[in-house]
Amino acid sequence: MIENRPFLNMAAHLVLILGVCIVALPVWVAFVASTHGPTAFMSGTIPMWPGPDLVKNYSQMLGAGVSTSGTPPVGVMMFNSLIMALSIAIGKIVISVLSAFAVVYFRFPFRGLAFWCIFITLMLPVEVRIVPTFQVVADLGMLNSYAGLSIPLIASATATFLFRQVFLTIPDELTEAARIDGAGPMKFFRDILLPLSRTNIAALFVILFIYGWNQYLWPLLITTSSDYYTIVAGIKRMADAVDGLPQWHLVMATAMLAMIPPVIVVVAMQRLFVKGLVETEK
Amino acid sequence: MASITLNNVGKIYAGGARAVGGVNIDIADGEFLVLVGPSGCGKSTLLRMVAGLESISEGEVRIGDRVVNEVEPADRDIAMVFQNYALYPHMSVRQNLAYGLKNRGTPKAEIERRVGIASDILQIGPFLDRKPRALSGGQRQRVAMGRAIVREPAAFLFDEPLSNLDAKLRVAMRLEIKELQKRLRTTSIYVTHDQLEAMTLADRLVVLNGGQIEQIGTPLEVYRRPASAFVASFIGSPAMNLIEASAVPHLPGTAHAGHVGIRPEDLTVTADGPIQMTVMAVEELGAQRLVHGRTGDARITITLPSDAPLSDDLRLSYRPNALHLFHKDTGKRVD
Repeated sequence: MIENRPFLNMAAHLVLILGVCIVALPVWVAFVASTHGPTAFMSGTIPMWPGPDLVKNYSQMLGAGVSTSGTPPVGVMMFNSLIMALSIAIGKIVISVLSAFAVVYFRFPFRGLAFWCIFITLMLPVEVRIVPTFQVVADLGMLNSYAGLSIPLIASATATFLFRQVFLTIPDELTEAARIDGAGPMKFFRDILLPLSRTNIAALFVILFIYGWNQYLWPLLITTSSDYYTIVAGIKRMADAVDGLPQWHLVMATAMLAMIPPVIVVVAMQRLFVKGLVETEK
Repeated sequence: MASITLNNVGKIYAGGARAVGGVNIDIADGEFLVLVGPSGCGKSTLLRMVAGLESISEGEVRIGDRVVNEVEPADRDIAMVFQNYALYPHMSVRQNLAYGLKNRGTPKAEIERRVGIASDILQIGPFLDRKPRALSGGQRQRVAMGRAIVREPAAFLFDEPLSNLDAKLRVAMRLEIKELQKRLRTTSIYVTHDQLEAMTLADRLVVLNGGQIEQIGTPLEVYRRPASAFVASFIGSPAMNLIEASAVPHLPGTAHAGHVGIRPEDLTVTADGPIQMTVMAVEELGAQRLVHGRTGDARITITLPSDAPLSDDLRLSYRPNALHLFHKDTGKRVD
């Protein structure tokens, strides 16, 4: 439906502006909080304009960290988060693209069963299986390690399913042409399938990177050494001040810093991301 | 280059359905053979069995003097042109042409040379660095043929390569394919459902129906002496008139004839012809016109020069040797 009336245009813009405000306000408040001193947010009235301590707060977080709540400097936690998010995103993509390739292009016994087994794991996210998974990871000695942070989250039914759908849209004749051109299965996979799913891989990478970056419960559970704290779990630890008030100005500064990498990933990959989600022609 | 032999070839699908049965064809070195038939007649299945994309349930396929039943498609020394071109969308035209050669470990210089030759033949030189999506349908079809040519295979296999093109381009590409094949003298098998394409391209054509061969012959043999009522109605445009034998007076009698066939151009209008025709519709083609009508219960079509006089009732006559008689039970030709 395409209407062209000034009133409707205004109404549409109003709704959009309202939506943006609702989304942006908390971010703004967080930013404002990160520029004030420690007492500003305890005084009863929340300031709405930036204060004088921006440089001081951020340099403290980037430098020394908050020793009272036992968190390392933000840099270390950001690095841990980055390793974890990248391992999860890349690991998920590698595994799911290979299993989708197997399920779509090979006729092996119990192929349907294999696919449905993968599919059923959709019903078992980390939160449901967290106790047994913790047990397994602990028994394998993977507590406080990058492997422990990422491997249990790598298996992905969603991504497998997505790649299966992508592969099903690739015409059979392309597969046959490649067979006649003498491309074996792995060569076909590398030369034809991967380049053709490039945009889908990019879109998935964006989603999975953010998924990995935002992991909260799992890192909180299996990291006890501050060397392996991730930023999202670190924020939680900082807010848990035991014998004093939470230092909101520092917590918010950390939160602002934690938002930067996902934003960079989204902005940098926006074009591929959109293409990967809407493109249908192969 | 090589001959291709199909020896009692059949295809039975996993469910037990038979797609093709008892096909025997000898294709000579350099011959252009066309498989033609309605959709579902098994012509594509047959081609795909030669290509190795479909397993062979019965009989054997030879390319040259080698039985290739169990040979991988890539090792059969054939090249195939697909209906939807099947170009690799993410590769440039040059990479599309080179891909098969690269996989075979052909030296770089040799690949360059062959791509150069093929692009000269097909006049696709200016597009070599474009992606397929930036090409028109006809250009894509050329690239698909180029991909076959660079391989210098023993045989070309065409699977309805012109079906996706518009009518005008189809006629032009048809001629190009014919000239190309004459020039390269590569054995070719070409599948189509378009009888006109089959007639114009073929050295010999094979008419298939229901997975069985109805007739093999040169286009003119098939046109002049169709082996069955099916072939008679399938080959030729406008289609041959098929009339119940009992409805035709003074038939040079055979007792077994079920249908009489007569080509529209073999019927002439005369004042005292034995067949009476009631005209129902006229189609102008420019040089001639098609006149559709009825004789008794049967529909009948004749072609007339565009300046011939018309009336609602025509009397038609024919030369006795222009009649084709078909058996009333088997539909086979009766002589």
